[in-house]
Amino acid sequence: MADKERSHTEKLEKILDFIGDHIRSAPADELIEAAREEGRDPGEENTRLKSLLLKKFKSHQQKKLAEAREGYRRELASISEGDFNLPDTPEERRTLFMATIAQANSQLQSTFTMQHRDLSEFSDEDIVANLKKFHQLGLLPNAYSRDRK
Amino acid sequence: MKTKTKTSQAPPKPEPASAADIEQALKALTLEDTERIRQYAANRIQRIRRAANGRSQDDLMQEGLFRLLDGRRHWDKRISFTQCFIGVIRSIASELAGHRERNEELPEYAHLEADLRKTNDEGKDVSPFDGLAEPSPNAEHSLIQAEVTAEREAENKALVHEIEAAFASDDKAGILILGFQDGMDGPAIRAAFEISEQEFKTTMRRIRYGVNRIMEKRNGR
Repeated sequence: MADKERSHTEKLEKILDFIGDHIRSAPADELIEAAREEGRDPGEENTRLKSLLLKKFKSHQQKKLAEAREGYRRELASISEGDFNLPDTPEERRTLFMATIAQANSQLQSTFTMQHRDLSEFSDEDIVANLKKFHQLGLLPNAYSRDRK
Repeated sequence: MKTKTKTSQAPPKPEPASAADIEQALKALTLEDTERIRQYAANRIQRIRRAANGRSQDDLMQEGLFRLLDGRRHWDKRISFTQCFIGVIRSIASELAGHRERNEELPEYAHLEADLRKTNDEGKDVSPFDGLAEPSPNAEHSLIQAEVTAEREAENKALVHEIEAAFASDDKAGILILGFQDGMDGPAIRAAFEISEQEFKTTMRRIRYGVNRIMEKRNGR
């Protein structure tokens, strides 16, 4: 039955692979019993493992959020410290944004309102990004464009 | 006359699960799920042995979770989270085993043990496989590889003998173990040796327990 060419490494791997495949489909009571035979409490293990994975999940999500915030902060800094001044507060930035649209030519106004139906729902991040574009297009009032002072 | 009422179309590709879906699935893990995942991860650590390089089953599970969250692996919600997670764990263990085999003597590999949770400059978790050099085969490498293979083969020979000895007086378990080594699957072994389903199940329990003890003892746990 046994293949004489098979190494002991392969033999051991096959034994462990078979056991692994068995674990994947073994009935629940067998898994629970195996845990108890190993001296573990499946209830405690369930609590520990879920807690560990959820903790890792949260830290991963917080890192992603922190990265996004940092990206936003850098963008804000590059705009503020760059070649134009951005108002300090979100309210002032929104006012500038709305005023710029109101002063822009009618084609830009209609294009902008067609693409973005409800401007009141824009977040501060959206507004900052659009103010940057307006600046690049030369649409910001002179008071905010440092290079036009 | 039969009429076709539906046109045959390929089923739509499922949307990969979101982070919120994964969080919900983690919260909903049952006793059975956590045992299945844990026992499978422990089995993979035993399987890759030295290639685990100090990693535990918890490390495998954490890496699996990061891969799902980073989008390096996707959970197709048509299968259970547990089975998907087990698949991810299996693939990580295979990568580790393959990497070890190719890079046994490289200094980068030796650093992994003290550097299990790697982070980049921004503090973000990165894969322990990132930044490792690709193997560059040469005569010296081949010689070291041969020595390592011989050393591993000697260790594994001792383990196989220990497993066989542990079941020397258990005929059914002995037959199953020989069948596994030969690459036979469960139904083939049962058919060839006329083993009932119940006998197979109870024998598998004995084998799992016995092999587990031997492997844990050898791994110093």
